[in-house]
Amino acid sequence: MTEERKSVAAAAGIDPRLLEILVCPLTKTVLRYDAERNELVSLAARLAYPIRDGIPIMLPEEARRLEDDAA
Amino acid sequence: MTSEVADAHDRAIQDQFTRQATGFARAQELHADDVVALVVEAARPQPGDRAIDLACGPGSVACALAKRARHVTGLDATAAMLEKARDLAAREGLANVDWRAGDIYRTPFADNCFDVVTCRFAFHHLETPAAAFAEMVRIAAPGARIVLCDAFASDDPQKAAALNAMDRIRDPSTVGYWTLPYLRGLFEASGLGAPLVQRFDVSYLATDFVAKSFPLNDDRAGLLAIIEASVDGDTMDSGAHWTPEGVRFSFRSAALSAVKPG
Repeated sequence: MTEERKSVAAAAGIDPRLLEILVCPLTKTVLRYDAERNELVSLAARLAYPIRDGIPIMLPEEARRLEDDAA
Repeated sequence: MTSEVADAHDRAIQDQFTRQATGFARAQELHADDVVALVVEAARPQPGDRAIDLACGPGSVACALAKRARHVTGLDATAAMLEKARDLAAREGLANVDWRAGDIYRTPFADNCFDVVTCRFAFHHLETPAAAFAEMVRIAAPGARIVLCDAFASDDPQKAAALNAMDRIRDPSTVGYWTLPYLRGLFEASGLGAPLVQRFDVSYLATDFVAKSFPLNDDRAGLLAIIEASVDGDTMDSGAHWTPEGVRFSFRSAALSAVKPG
């Protein structure tokens, strides 16, 4: 994880060490934290997982499907 | 631990819980704490460990682990449960625990990343427990302790079917309790070897059990009648018997644990 990504995650109250082990439940690939939307983005699955009240909702059925231009 | 020592340990735990179950007949919360303590003891969390409790519900096991481990994650499919879990962590002043909504079959974690993996009272809700257990093993690091705790059904198929039929009326989300040999087999089939098995009984007065339930069609009287009818011949293999207060019966339960090979 880059230092930049860590600081962004920490600022949002997401423990950066835990983002290291958190992966997309479908593809098991790393997630990118989108601070603006407060989502965890899986480019591989084309899904954005919401963070509600500080709890990442890592359920594909609850995730937002990425549009082609939103990745 | 040799099997002889393990057996003696099993008996000690069983004796302990049987005595406590008697003492705590009217205090189910205390009883629930005993089960949490047993799961934590089986998990042997170390100060540097990263632990996870799967299907964590309101967070009691995760919070208990957090008092002994470096960090704990609780995973549950139900966000409302995780809010309760977070409240519990806040009440207990725990800063080293966090929560993820997720599916036990498809957890959002990398391979080999936890030193302790626990799951309590969830496998009877699962259609394909072997897949969930494989996921527990996948996210466990080499050398990690894996603890699976649940009630189990009789080896007698008829008695198992009777217990499961009763429990599906009590809670329609119950799939069925698995037998102890089946649960052991999950460990053996995953290359973990024979697990250490700590047995205990979760004992209920049938009237208390029924009062706390949300049975099918709200038929509490029907549920109570089923439990009372099981006394003759112990048809659910639950040790059901009459006492002056009514029928008392138990969910035979076990915490199975093993170390993932390095």
